[in-house]
Amino acid sequence: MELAKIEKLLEAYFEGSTTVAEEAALRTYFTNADVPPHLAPYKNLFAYYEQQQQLTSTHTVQPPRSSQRYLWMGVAASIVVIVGIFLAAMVGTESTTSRVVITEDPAMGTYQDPEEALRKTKEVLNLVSSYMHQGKQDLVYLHEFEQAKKGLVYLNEFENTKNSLIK
Amino acid sequence: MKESVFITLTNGFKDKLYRLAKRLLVSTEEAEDATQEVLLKLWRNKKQIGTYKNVEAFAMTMTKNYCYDKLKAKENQNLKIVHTNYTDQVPTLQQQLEAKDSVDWIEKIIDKLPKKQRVIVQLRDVEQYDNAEIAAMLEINESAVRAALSRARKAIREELVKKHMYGVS
Repeated sequence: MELAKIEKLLEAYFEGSTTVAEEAALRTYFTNADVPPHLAPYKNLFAYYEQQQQLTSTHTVQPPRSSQRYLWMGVAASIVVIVGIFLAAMVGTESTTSRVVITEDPAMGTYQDPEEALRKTKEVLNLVSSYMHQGKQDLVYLHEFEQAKKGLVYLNEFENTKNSLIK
Repeated sequence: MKESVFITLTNGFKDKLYRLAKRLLVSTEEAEDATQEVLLKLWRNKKQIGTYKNVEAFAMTMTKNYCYDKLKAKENQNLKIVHTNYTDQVPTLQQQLEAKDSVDWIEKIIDKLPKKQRVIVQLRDVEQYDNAEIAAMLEINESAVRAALSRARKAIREELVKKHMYGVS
């Protein structure tokens, strides 16, 4: 490119009116060709821009691992817990229902037939009362105690005298 | 959106984000942080990526806003932090001296510009976006972009010429 054109472009460049393509042409001129002395200061400028373009970040940015995996782990864990509770509840209700099958009416205990239930109940009650009677037989000696107490009526005399003394 | 898709998508403009952040924040580490932050934000909102007209432009806008916030936060601190990039990016002394003379000088000039002009120089002269794209990224109109660009370029030229003429005139 001839010098006059370059100078004109350079002037436009400083006015900010050059296009990107024209600036690229200026850049190639200043970085490759022999530059006349009066334009020498701009050589460094374009060299600097050229150099700045090569600058790269040394760090590699790694997006953080998404927490989605942990989200699914949480979901899986809660499903396990819920299923566990459900199963435990199922087993519990099964055992209670098996008991309920035998005794439909809680008033009859383990018996199916009401007659039998009544008989058995009477037997049990008799057994209990017989034991109570046995225990009561030993209490006959309380009569002795009662009789001895009767002998103590004379104490009343003593009491009477004591009362008259107080008067 | 899959992770690999996201990475290939963002790899296309990741370095542009980084360079913009570095232009504004100067420090390499802070620029890396800013890039990472912007990409993570994009990743978190990956469901909306489809609704953006231009993901790259959107990411550039995000980076610009992030860096502006950072700069503002820094201005609010009483203590000014001076950044030193400890990694020696220029290996030999010879090259170092050369760089000091030329390229570093330009970097210093650009760093002295107001942040808006810096962003525009970065987007236009380094990344070669056209004015319409820059206007969309910076949420300003095209003529404002052009004016700021011209002002920035002229300021750079002034400094360059001053340096070039140093000791001559």
